[in-house]
Amino acid sequence: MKKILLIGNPNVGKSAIFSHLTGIDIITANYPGTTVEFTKGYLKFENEKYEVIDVPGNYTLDAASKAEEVAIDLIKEGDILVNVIDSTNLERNLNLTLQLLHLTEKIPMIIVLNFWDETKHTGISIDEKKLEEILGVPVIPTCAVTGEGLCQIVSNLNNAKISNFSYDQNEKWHIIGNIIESVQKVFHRHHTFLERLSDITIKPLTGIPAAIIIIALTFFIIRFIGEGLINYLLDPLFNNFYHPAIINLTKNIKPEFFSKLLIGTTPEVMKSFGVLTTGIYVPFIVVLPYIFSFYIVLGFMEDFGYLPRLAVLLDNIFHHLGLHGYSAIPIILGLGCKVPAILSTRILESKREKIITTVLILISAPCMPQTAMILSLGIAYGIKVVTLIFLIIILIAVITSFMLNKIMKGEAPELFTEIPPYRIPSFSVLSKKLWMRLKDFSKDAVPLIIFGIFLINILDILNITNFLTAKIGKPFVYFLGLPKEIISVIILGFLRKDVSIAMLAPFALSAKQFIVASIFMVLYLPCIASFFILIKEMGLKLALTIVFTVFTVAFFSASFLNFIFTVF
Amino acid sequence: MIISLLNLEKNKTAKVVKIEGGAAFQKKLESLGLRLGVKIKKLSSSVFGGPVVIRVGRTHIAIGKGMANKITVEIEN
Repeated sequence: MKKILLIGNPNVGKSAIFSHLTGIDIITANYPGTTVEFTKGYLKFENEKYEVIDVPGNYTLDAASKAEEVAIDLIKEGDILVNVIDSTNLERNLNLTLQLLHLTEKIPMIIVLNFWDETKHTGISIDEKKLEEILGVPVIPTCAVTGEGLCQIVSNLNNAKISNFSYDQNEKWHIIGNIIESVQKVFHRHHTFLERLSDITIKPLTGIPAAIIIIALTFFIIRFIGEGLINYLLDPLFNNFYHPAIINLTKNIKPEFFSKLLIGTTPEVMKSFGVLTTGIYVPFIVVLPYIFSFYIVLGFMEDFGYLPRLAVLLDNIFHHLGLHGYSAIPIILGLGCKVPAILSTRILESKREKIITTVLILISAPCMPQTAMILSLGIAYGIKVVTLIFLIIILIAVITSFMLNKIMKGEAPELFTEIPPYRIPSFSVLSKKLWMRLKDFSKDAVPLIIFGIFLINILDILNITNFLTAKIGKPFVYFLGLPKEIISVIILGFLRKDVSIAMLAPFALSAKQFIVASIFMVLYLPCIASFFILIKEMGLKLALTIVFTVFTVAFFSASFLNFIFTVF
Repeated sequence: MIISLLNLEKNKTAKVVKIEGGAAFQKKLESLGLRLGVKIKKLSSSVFGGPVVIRVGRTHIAIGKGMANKITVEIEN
């Protein structure tokens, strides 16, 4: 089977083209470094099956970074290279193209001029036929978001050619300059609205106020959509229809053991821990609406291109934590789920940076499912209590990474990154991305949530919880000021962190106890999924060190907080 | 006038005439199109130690303060 490699600079749309060619959906966004792992897929054309590989983006093939080494290794195995180029940025992209044409073992190649639609309103005109003539390989203009021109990639696979274009390495930029001179015309035009917006949001004087407004607005929209869905749609549906029906159906099931497992013993949904009551309510009524609203907003910000600009504005603050601004992107992804966030730390250069960023991902904020649960239970104590919880968590994270920066040798590297232009997101791409993320949540998280709730209930019914509480509950009563039954929450919480907060519901905690318990449950251990990804990315030893550090921070901060609450 | 990119005034256009630092550093800058002889426009200055933002060709690049200080540019009249 022939191997097709999609290769090109970061953020030129390789993943979007890959999705179209193979039918495999992968997450795309408008910033460099969205794809950190290569993805494989298959494509059938004229009875021939091809393997398609989406190679993470590279500016050059100098083997200077991990991503470049990965690309070079992949290229060796390729049969056809599809070099994807950002047509609005010909000069920089042709640098890689010339390197690809100059490989020692030459591979047939096609050039794809993506963002073809954008050349029109950026005042560029490219003569693609002439480029094809000069470089000696097929050149195909496309717009990956709309799918325009993508069929031509497939139908031209057999036309992929080994170019006989040769050049002197030392004269590279001169030659690129000449090529551009003969194929590209640039017209003068006025700045577009998006360009002016880009200026406003990146210059510190206007950018910082803009960032504050955007972040505030983001939280408002996420809460507005999430809460709206819960209060006006899902919760009424559950309480008026589903819950009474399910109780009626199951209440006569004998023996009582089974009915306890299915619907618990209390009609209060958050306290029953029945698989069909709490097990449905937590994932679908409390958590899902927030996952939905968070990823609508994140998806828009990703595709519009705001995140790299936020990274630039935060660069200065992040330097005090031993990081540069680009670390903001993994941390923002971590507000949704820690797993993709930890994976995305691969865009960072040094190991030191990766470690500090990973710790920050784990402790700077809860993931969205846990946030949803804290909001849902905490709102009974008032919005002030909920806000205080999040503020204390951020404070703990800042102090911890400040200390890590002092303890770990080395310096924060400097920011050096491309800032992509703002782009109007495509509705179909956004909805597809949202759908993928919701599907992942339903497939990976929901069964674990239901299983967690089942486990809690059965341990309780079998009296194991009481046994454990009596044996090892004491330190938590003493240091954290929490009821000793909390031990079962602590033991099972690593399964799913949203479930761990749900488990606080039956305890009737005071506001202070709820704050201490929430903060401890957010910080103390990563959930099982993020624990495995941590081992995969960092190795067992380093992963365990990070987990141990985070647990220590959690225990001491929660104890300290309890101490303050008791004294004052 | 020859000054460092860090000290170049905002909205001014200039030509890169010198890049201090090793080969790896030069390559890193070159990968985004920042190399000797190339024209750049400074879009925003370093505020409170933050990065400098410039435009090279059609690429907008954010560069840390220390790195910007290693790049010397010549303002054209």
